[in-house]
Amino acid sequence: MRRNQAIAILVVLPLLLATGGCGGDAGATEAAVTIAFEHLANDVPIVLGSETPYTNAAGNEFGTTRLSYFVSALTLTLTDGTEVTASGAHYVDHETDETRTYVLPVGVATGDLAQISFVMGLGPDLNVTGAFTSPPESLMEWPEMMGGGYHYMKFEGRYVDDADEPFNFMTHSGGLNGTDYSFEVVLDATGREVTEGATFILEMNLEEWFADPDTWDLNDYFNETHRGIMGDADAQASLMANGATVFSLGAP
Amino acid sequence: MNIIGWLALAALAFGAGGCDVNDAPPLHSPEPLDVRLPRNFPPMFVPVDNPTTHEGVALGRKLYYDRRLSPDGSRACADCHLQEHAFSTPLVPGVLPHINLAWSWNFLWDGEFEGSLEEAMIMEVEEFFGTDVERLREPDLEEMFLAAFGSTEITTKRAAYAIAQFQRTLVSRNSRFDDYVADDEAALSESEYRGMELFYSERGECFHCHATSLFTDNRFHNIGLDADVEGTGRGAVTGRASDDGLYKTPTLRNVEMTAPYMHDDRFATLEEVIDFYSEGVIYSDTIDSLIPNVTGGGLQLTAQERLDIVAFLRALTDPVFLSNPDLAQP
Ligand code: HEC
Ligand code: HEC
Ligand SMILES: [Cu+2]
Repeated sequence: MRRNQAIAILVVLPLLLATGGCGGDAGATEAAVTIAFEHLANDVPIVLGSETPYTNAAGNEFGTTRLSYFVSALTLTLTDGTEVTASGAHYVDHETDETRTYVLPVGVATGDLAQISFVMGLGPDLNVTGAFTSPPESLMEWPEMMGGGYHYMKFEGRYVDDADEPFNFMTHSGGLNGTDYSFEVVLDATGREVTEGATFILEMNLEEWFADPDTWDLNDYFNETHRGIMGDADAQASLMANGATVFSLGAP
Repeated sequence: MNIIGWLALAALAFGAGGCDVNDAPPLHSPEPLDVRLPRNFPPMFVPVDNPTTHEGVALGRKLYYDRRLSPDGSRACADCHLQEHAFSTPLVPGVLPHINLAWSWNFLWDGEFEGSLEEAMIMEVEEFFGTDVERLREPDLEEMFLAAFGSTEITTKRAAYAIAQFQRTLVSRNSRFDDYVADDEAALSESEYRGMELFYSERGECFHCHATSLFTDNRFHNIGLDADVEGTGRGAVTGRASDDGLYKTPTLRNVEMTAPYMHDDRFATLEEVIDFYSEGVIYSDTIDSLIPNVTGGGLQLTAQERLDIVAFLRALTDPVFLSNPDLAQP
């Protein structure tokens, strides 16, 4: 990582010098861009708590108590083909407001946007034990016994089970024993423009984790004998598939 | 050039200018102390205004064990925080151990104190002890303040800063679990190994809260000890109903030596603690989503699993920490 950055600087610096630095043409203006993360369930902004106000496709009533996750390699692509990637990962925790805005560490050329894409979770290059040494990121650790690295997501809460009792669910995703379940999300962003200070809203629609293509009845995934899904490769693959429809861009 | 270099130059300049240098404080440079950490530990944050030094740690250690720190000379930190109990004691209710607090930012069971280690120690010295600096103005201590901070001026802040430096040396990292992590496969018995597997699985479900190599996430949880949690724990501090019944996750390092257990000492043994997680969990609104089977009493572990998990907890005991002469009464 660090070495790549160093090499990048070594390569870019002479280029900048050669082209006369910042004095380029107007088209090359760069803007600071912010991504704001919003979390919805059944189309309303979530409120963390023990209640179960939402419903998933299987008809389970559920609520959420905790939501944190990583997005990485966030990339903005302009209609003219310009592509800018913010390398590294960003940690989002619904409970911590600062984490819900991500000022991209790179400037983005102004112009018409074509798409916003990112990796949900951490790709294999980032998902290495020891990559995050301090909290809160380090608290996403994934046990060595299950392959090490970090959780991609902790989405937890309570649902009403078949016995009509509250039961906890822990939708924790991550790479399991060497298999990577992170996935790329590509969102159409035509009609939006990168201008100085632009903010784009990235929405996570929580109930979509439990639907499309696989409908999750939470009773099957979180019950007395099957307590979690971290060690369940099928469940991880299913989340990856369902994840394709979880994100959308908020109204500009 | 560092600050000491500049001071030396300045002193020379004054000397050359014919000032009376005899009254000037002697130049001092406490010797930096580097606390060694294993690779799986987080980096230790040390604030620029309180670098860890041999002299500072020596003073902090002295004060930690010295009853002159209390205005009536009745108690020292070490009266309730005893090394052989990982700096806690079974004799006073609810005492939290002093283990790896260098990485803590929430202090006390209900998190009543949030802030840096320095701020926490200032709170302990000024508010909890009400230290009277007059009591500390004795030659032995003045000499140590001079060595640590460059002048004999004694303030509660300096006392607290020195104790914070000592706290940064209370690092527990030499358990058999650590040996195992450092590649000594034979460090754990079969039962301890099975206990570790359970600890780090969703069947045991311990690792999300007793997290990282510190065995705590430094956060607050309701683990299901009581049915009525209204106005208790973190909730009593924040006034938020959603915080009722939440307490700080204690580290499990040296947990064998910190009985009795929980914020109110309700369990005498580790076996009782595991029985609780297995059968005794009681539902309340704020119970944590990481507690499995909340309406069915908890984990439902087998007898063997309970033995294994307790065995693993005992493998977190650090005999070096508990007997290190550098941490003992000076
Ligand atoms: C009379 C017994 C007693 C003495 C003396 C005492 N403590 Fe404590 N200490 C406790 C108890 C009890 C707790 C837990 C209280 C709580 O959480 O409500 C505690 C907790 C702490 C904690 C919080 C640890 C954590 O994990 O959050 C720190 C820090 C601490 N003490 C430092 C000190 C220092 C420094 C001194 C000396 C200046 C000292 N204590 C003297 C009884 C004592
Ligand atoms: C939801 C988070 C969470 C989970 C999961 C969890 N703990 Fe705890 N643990 C805590 C908290 C918080 C306390 C303190 C509770 C209190 O005093 O009210 C605690 C207390 C303890 C204590 C007593 C320590 C002391 O010094 O008093 C032990 C031992 C313990 N836990 C072991 C375990 C084991 C073993 C597991 C897995 C079977 C486990 N815990 C699972 C959060 C958790
Ligand atoms: Cu998990």
